[in-house]
Amino acid sequence: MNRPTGRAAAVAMRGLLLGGGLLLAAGPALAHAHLHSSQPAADAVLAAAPAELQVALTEPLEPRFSALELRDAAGQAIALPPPRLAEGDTKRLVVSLPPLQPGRYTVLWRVTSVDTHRTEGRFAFTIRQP
Amino acid sequence: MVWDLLLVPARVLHLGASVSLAGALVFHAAVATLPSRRWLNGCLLVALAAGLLRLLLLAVAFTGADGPGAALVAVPDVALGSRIGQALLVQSALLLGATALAGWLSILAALLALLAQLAPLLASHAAAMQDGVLLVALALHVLAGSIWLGGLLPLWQAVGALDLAQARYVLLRFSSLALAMVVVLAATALLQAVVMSGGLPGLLGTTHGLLMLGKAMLMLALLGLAALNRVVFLPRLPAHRTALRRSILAEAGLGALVLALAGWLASVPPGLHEVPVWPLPWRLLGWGWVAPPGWALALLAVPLLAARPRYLALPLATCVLLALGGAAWGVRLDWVPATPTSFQTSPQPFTTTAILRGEALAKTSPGLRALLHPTPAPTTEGDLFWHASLAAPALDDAQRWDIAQFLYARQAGLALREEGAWPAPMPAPDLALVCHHGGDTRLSALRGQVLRLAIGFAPTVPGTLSVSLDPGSPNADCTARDPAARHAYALLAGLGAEPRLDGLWLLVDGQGWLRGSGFRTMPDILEEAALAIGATPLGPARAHH
Repeated sequence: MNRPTGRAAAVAMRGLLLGGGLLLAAGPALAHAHLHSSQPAADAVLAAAPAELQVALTEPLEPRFSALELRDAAGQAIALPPPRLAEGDTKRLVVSLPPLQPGRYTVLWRVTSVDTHRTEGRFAFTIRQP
Repeated sequence: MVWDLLLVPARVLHLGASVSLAGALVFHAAVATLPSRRWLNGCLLVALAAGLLRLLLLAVAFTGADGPGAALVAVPDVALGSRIGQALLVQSALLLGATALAGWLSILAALLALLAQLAPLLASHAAAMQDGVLLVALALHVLAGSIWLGGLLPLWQAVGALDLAQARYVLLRFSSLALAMVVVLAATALLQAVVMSGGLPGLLGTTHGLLMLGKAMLMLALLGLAALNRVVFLPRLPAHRTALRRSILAEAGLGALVLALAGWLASVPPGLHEVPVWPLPWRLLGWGWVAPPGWALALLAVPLLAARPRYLALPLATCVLLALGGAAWGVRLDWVPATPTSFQTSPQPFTTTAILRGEALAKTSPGLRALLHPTPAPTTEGDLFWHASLAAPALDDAQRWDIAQFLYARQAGLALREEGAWPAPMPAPDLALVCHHGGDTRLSALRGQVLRLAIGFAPTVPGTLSVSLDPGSPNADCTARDPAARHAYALLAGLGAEPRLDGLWLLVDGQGWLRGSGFRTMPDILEEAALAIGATPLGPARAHH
């Protein structure tokens, strides 16, 4: 009767030690970064109006359930077509922009990643007077 | 959102029903009799209904539909146009096929049911993280859990219905199968914890981590019951048949709780991606030192423990190994006071303007000015945010992070001046630049090359890009737009109070980490330092939550 119990204890002990070692080795938590990069970059000051807006996130996205909004300095929404995935990159949303006047613009992004999590954020860029 | 709250119970119900169905079909194929048709059909109906409910709730979540009618209209779009929708459709089809084949082609039915468990993994955290190893581990975990936990109720039913010899045979066969599944579950759970928990702060300080711990505790209780069945009740059959069946039922109950936590766990972001709230009033100084000896211990443990383990000696040997590892890396074991935000970092980029904004704010109240006095205990950026929050509760989060970033930079600079090194890896604060060849850019956009930041005198150093902190300087590749950036970098160099900064330089590596600082150093020494940091990268660039 003792043998199975002893074997189970051995297995448990091995598991605990191995698990403890690996968990300690996992190191500190890293902060998450939903928005990886964008074009135009956050807070960029541009000499000319960009032709398109690209937002790269850290996870593959569901493009049909993700949205990009652009607002001018007065907070007015600028009409944009639905965003699409960049070719060969499931983490990057692209949308063509209409001609933009100089001024400050705010981008609002709301995305759904393939693991169904939804995140949102905003950043701004400025187009300089020529 | 009420609808959002329903997503977790719907997922748990869906998981429980599909696991029960798969477990029952595997039990039939690998162990004994087919559970009743009513049980199989019941599991299938619940799984299909729960799958449909999930689609409806996801439609509300994805599209923001404001009523059941609008949600119903959006269901086809979600079912066909999202990865989770497609996965749920495939899973439902596989479960239907498996149930139809049950009792006729039992092995094929079991395989289809197991395959159905894998379909939703295409929309899992592991799939989103695009980590192939993690995805394989998760797949094995789900399969092993389905076979073990899903087989418990059929086992309970079989032990009650079969004669003694058959019952004993079934118990021994299921026990062997379950033992193999437990090994797979433990190994794959461990891998997931290592990759997704975000270390101890994530494990103790996030919902995901606490759920993982809760699930591990329940699994230990399950193992206890399984051992009780095998070691105590099984040898005493038939006298203990009733007790054994009660114990298996209790095991199934615990298994249902494990599945509930698993469904919840799959619905929350991994600890790695969350902001941890540290629950303890103290922390061990510098978790980083644990990593190398931790891995060494883990690697050593495998061959060591495969041999004859000496239980009492092993914990002792572990402590000795850890102590030796710590000593080898020259680190002391210090417990220091901690705050709930100890392991948090600013959600906003670390910039010279944030540091300067923080400096201005830190002078606005006596409570904040008191934070300028260095504390004996080491503090993190997150600790400084907590102290700033207590000192100035009226400020908003962004302002308090500005203060924390200023204090952190100043504290690092003071440590550099007194001890000759920054106490922790310091990212170079970002700033706006004008480059001769690239026009307007930012320091962070120059990653990948070694940068030499300088004030005043800027010698040419091969292999580096020169960045002058003096706007308009003609002798550098890039220059700062804002003259105030000089003061932010002076703080980081421990020279915040110095009136004359001409001759200050700082080196930044390709990942954006500050790697050295000096004052009026000879160009050949600078070149040597630049070469050295190019050859010894510090690690990936700092991320923000």
